[in-house]
Amino acid sequence: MSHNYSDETISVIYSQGTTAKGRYQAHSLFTSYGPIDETSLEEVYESSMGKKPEFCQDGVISDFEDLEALQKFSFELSQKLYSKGVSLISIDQYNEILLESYNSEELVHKLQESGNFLANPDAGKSNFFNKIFN
Amino acid sequence: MLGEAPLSLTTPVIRDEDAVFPGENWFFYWKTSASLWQAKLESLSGINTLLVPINWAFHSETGDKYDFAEDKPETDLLKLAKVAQGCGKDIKFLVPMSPCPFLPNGGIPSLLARTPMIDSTGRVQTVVDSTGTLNKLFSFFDPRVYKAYGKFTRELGHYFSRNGMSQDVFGMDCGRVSIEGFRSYVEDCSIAYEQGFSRFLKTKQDDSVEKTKWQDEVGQIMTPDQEHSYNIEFSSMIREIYAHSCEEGLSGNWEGTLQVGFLGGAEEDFFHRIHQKDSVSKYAQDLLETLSLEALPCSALVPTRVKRGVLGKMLNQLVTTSFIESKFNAHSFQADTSAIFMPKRFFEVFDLAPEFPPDTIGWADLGLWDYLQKYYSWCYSDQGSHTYSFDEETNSGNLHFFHGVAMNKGLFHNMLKNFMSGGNVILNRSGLEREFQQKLEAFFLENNLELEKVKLHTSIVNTTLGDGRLVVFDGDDLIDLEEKKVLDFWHRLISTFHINHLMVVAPEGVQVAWKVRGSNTQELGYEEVRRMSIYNPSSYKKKFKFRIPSTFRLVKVLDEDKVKFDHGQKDIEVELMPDGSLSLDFGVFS
Repeated sequence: MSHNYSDETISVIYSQGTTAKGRYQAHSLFTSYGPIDETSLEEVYESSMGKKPEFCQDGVISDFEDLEALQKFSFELSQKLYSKGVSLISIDQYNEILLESYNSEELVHKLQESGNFLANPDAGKSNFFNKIFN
Repeated sequence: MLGEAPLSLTTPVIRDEDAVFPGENWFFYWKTSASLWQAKLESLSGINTLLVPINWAFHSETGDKYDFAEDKPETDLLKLAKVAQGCGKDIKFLVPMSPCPFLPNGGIPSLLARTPMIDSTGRVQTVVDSTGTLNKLFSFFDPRVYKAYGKFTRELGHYFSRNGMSQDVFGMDCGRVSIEGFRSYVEDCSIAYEQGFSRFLKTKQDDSVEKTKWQDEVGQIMTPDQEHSYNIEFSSMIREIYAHSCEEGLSGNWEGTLQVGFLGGAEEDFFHRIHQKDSVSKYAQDLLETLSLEALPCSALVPTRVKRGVLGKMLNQLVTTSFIESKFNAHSFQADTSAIFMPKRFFEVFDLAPEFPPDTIGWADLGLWDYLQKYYSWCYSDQGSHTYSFDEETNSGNLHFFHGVAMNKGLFHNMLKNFMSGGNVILNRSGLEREFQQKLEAFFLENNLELEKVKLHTSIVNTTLGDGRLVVFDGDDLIDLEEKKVLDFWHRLISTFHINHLMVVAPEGVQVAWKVRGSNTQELGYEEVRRMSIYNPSSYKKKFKFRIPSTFRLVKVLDEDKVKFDHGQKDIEVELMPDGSLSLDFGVFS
């Protein structure tokens, strides 16, 4: 299913040390449409990291050597989807927000407002215009 | 997304009935006034068994003082039992032995809910309930919790005995299915767990008996396998505290533990569910997986709108009117096997216990599940690490699978007893200890058994005794084989058992479930009647064809919904629309 991500922020919940190699892992990548599909994640990971991900499921992907690699991947995903930007939320921040939230709606809203935001300068450019001008 | 449930654009209004009866004969007594219990239960027609989970926190806020019919009328379980009896319902109480995903704080009294549970990825363990509320789960490894739990079960037991209540009480181990099988919500990586585990290790180290072993085996640093083994030991020890509390406190009513698998309660469901992206396809798969694990599926977390279509049908046909009745009232139906359709099983597969290091070769690594799933869709029972005990009375006659690496004296004895009583057994001898290898060889010699040796990707030894068959093979030889060859191995091996089955290789996303009942007086030409139910929880139209074996006769077509169906003498063609379903009854003879 294709979505218009131009007004969407991709939230990325991540942690360090939970994978076998003790590197970074993205536990969930989602927008208000729900978790990002596996195909998009895998495609961007391969082009960004030059290898296949160790683990990839809808919304979950690993691993990343450091935080910079995770940021790079997240930003490239944001560019691929032409989303407004990407927001990185550490697992501790996520847990704090979760414990303060009563229901799903409140949690999603708070997560969208939180984290370290990286804006995508190409936000909103559709594939159509992209094809014409490139 | 495949089989995605329709998105609700407005805040859903939860009907009182949905809150009180969340599905599959469950009744949440605390969600309605005690004065309405009678009217509610009377409205529940066609149901014999009523499942009532006991809400610990509803009877105590502190875990210290308890209310059983003293202050709140809704805590009057005696009244509830009487009302249910008056309405002709057989009530079964379920006492949680793990966090309950459908209750705030996982059902722990609020004053005890101090240490949030943490999953293996570091996230606070939270479940979305049917209304979108986030139920945070709290650690059952917190000593305050298991101490208070002992008091709860004692108080509950006193209440039952004081009031002469004879209703059955089951321990409810709440969990969800995962790639590793059934996973209890007890599993935890919180600080409470870590502290408890450290104390456990310290005690072990200080223990004079263990000290030598510890120093010899562990030294200063534990290997990952040793750590895994100690973790399992510690976890089992704490779970035993809960089980023991129940057995002791509720001895007169205690009926044992029941695993309950909650649809929509898995970690991977969480981020879908907070966005109201329930996946009917996934829940349908999880439902059948839960049944194959002999656990009770529960849809209490799934919103009603998601259960309206094919998922609701599956829950009704496979759980409410079949599994629950066979699980709780098996004795009532033993005399008349034609009365109820029970889940059909050909295989009982015993896998590895959690104590084994995670890289030990199990049936999944040997491609068995893939094969059974493809050709015998859900006609198997995944016994996991349950202890196998042969009983001539209850012997199912199914083909049993065992691992040599998991062999012990009891299993060895029971396995051979099964074989000698005419049972069929497949043993993966990889990892079989020398002691059992010698015993097996001695058994063959003592009984003068003729051994037939065949080479098919591995060496297979086949022997028979009366109707019994024992096949021994070396699973290690299958590990590096390509998938196609592994499937071929199982296909050729299992086909030698001549199982009378109608094989349907359904397209991806379509689920096929089989049930069976004995033939009645009008069906004497058949040995039994099997019901094949086909469901399409995906969002796509699915068309497929299958052949009717000569030992099957189509006797009835029922529950046709969004389906085109065509059948000749030998073939059946089915075209299922999204959300479509169909059931076919076949008379079966040999």
